[in-house]
Formats: sequence, structure tokens, C-alpha cells
Amino acid sequence: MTKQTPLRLGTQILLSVKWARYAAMLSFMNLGLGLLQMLVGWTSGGAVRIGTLFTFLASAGITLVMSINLYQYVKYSRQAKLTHDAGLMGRALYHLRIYFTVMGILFVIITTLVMLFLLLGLLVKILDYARA
Amino acid sequence: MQEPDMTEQENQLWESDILQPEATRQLAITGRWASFVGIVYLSLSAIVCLIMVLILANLKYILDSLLLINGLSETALAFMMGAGKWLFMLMMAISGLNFFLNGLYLFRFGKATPHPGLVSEDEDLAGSFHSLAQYLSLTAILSVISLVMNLLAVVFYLFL
Repeated sequence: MTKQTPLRLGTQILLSVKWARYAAMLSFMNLGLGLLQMLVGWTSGGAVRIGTLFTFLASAGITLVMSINLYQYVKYSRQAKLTHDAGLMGRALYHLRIYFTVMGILFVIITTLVMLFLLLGLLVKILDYARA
Repeated sequence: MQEPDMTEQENQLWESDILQPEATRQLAITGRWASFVGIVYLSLSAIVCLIMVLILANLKYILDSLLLINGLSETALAFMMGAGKWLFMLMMAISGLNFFLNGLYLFRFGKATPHPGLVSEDEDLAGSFHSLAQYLSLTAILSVISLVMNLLAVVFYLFL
């Protein structure tokens, strides 16, 4: 039977940093493309303008906060690796924490809204039955 | 996944003082949020599976209702009962798998992070960061797909 090589903490942190860098950069690129789409939508005119502007602003705000924090995680982790400063690693993980906190709060809002809509639909159905 | 190159000495030096109490505290909070998001993702994948089963079981009823509301042509109806059904199922399966993998990686990341008052082994923490790297790699791959699709949408809108 072959024994699996144990994972090394430092190597795995650097691996997560490498992928976090790609993910953050791609998010920024997606944001730029979103801006282009918003401009294209703006040229369509009419009520679509307001819709595209609001959609872009909402998604851009969230993406920007998340991407910046992911990028800060990359930046401070790399500095911590170079300087062997544990404080910098703490800062890096603080930014990773913000990234997941924003994501978690978004999920709480979305889950609550879905639950509310389901409850509202159920209530309307019950009222319909009661009337009938 | 390929791991970045590090010498043994560098690795030992880096690992010996990497996670001090403040960093561990931040990691513990991060892990709790990641677990929560992971559970929501896993629930979503279960819901997608349920929707797939319900649609497969009631496809005829759904199409009859659509027929009454919109009026469907014979060709459209035949497509929806044949290849269309499986195309839709494939798309649902892909999104379900995506939710499942995201949820699994995040949940594993959260589960292996240190809990307040408990000391985590380096190997557990390494496993935790490995799951984080897997989650981030999936995010990066999905971002590339989204980027290409958005780019195609803009090109089609502007030039076709």
C-alpha cells in the first residue's frame, strides 16, 4: 500500500494565493467587460438605459469589493512569504475574511428574499383556496 | 493541481511562523462564513436535482400548460419532447455540478479551519488551504467561461 504524501501548509497557502490572483484578475476583466456591456446597453436608449445602469452599478460594486479584497489577500500573503512577517499573514487572512463575509451576507440576503417570495406565494394560494 | 516550487528549507521556515494567533482567528471566522456559503451551494445543487426530477416527471403536463398559454408549433413541441428535453437536462446537470463542487470545496475549507479554543494540526490547515485553492481554481475557470460568453454577446450585438 502506498502512503499519500502529506500536504505542506506553506505550499498550499501559496497555491491558494496563485489561484486567488487569477480569480481576482479575471474578476477585474469581467468588470471591464461589464462596463462595455453597460455602454452598449446605454446606446439602446429608452427604459433599458436605467435598467442596465442599475444592474451594472449593483454588480460592479459587489464585484469590486470582493476582487479588491481577494487581491489584497494575494498581495499581503506574498509580502508575508518574502519577509516572514506573521502580521502580514494576519492582514492577508483579514482580507480573505472580508471576501467570504461579503459573499455570505449576499447569500443571506438572497436566501431570505427567496424564502419571502415562497411564503408570499404560499399565502396567496391559501387565500385563493379560502375564498373558493 | 501543480504546486509552486519551494525548497525544503524555505518550506520549513515559511511554515514555522506563518499562522500566529491573529491569523488563526481570522482564518476561523473566514472558515465559518465559507462553511455557510458551502452549505447554501450544496442545498442549491440538491434543489437543482429535485427540479430536474420534477420536470422529467411532469414534462407532458408542463408542455400542455405552455401550449394553452402561448400556443406552440408542432416542431417546437417535438423538439421540447426530444432533444430539447435532454439539452435542458444537460444544462441543469452542469449548473448542479457547479453548485455541488463549489459547495464541497468551500465546506471542506471551512471544516478544516481552526475552531475557537482548539489547536489545529498543520496537515489539517494544509488540507483546508488545498480546498480553498480548489475552490479558487474553479472560480477562475468559471470566470474565463463567463468572460468568453460575455465577449461573444458583445461581438454578436455590435457586429451581427
